[in-house]
Amino acid sequence: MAFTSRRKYCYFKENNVSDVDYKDVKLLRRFVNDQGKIMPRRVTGTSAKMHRKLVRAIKQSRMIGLMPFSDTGVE
Amino acid sequence: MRYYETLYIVNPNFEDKRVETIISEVGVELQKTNSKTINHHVWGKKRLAYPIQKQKYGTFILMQYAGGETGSMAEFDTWLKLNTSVLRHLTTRLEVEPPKIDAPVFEKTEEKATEKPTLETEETVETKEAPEEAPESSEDESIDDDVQEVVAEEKETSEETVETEEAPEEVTESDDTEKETE
Repeated sequence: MAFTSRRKYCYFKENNVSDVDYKDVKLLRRFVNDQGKIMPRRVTGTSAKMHRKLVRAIKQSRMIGLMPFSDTGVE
Repeated sequence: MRYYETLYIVNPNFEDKRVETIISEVGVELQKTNSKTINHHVWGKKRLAYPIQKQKYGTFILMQYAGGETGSMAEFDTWLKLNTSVLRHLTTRLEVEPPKIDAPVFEKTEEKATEKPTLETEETVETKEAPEEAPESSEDESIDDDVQEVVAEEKETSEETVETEEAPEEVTESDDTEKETE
């Protein structure tokens, strides 16, 4: 269990997605943690190319108010 | 020809007529840039991730168009910024020509239509990631309840019961996967 390495893969390459839409909050949510921080590439396994697009999409989504800049769970 | 997409948020307390007038105003202003409007419709009333101008919700309006003169496009941007009825707007460039949507789809139907295909593809390709989706969809529905009080209640209750039954199992599964990744 401890040393079994799980193959990391790029979600977007697996699904043949070439563009990340900032309106697709459902998708973007899986690449941020509970606080709303963008997860590092070493955790998600996203390819460098798609990670750049992903980061852009998440930041655009934040600007328009679809995703939180910081989500501490306090309403 | 460059294609652009502008998403802007209007005060959610405005009634439909007022939203329509705002849409037409924005459309007229866009015409000054010699742009060709492809789509211009209400995307839905959504909960904002953080309050904007003290509003918790917002009516999102999506507009896709083929870009006109760059100089006047900047003017259009400032016009949107100065417009008090537009809470916030975001213009992005589209790589490909957007398909024309004749019948504007409203929040409820549109969200479900977009959710289903993504869920199906994700489930078929990878089963591990799928559980994470389910609790989120339940959240989305609870948000919708807040926004739209007058909805077909029977449908929602039936769906919610189904999801709540599934939820506890799936949450534990997703926790396991998260631990593995860590």
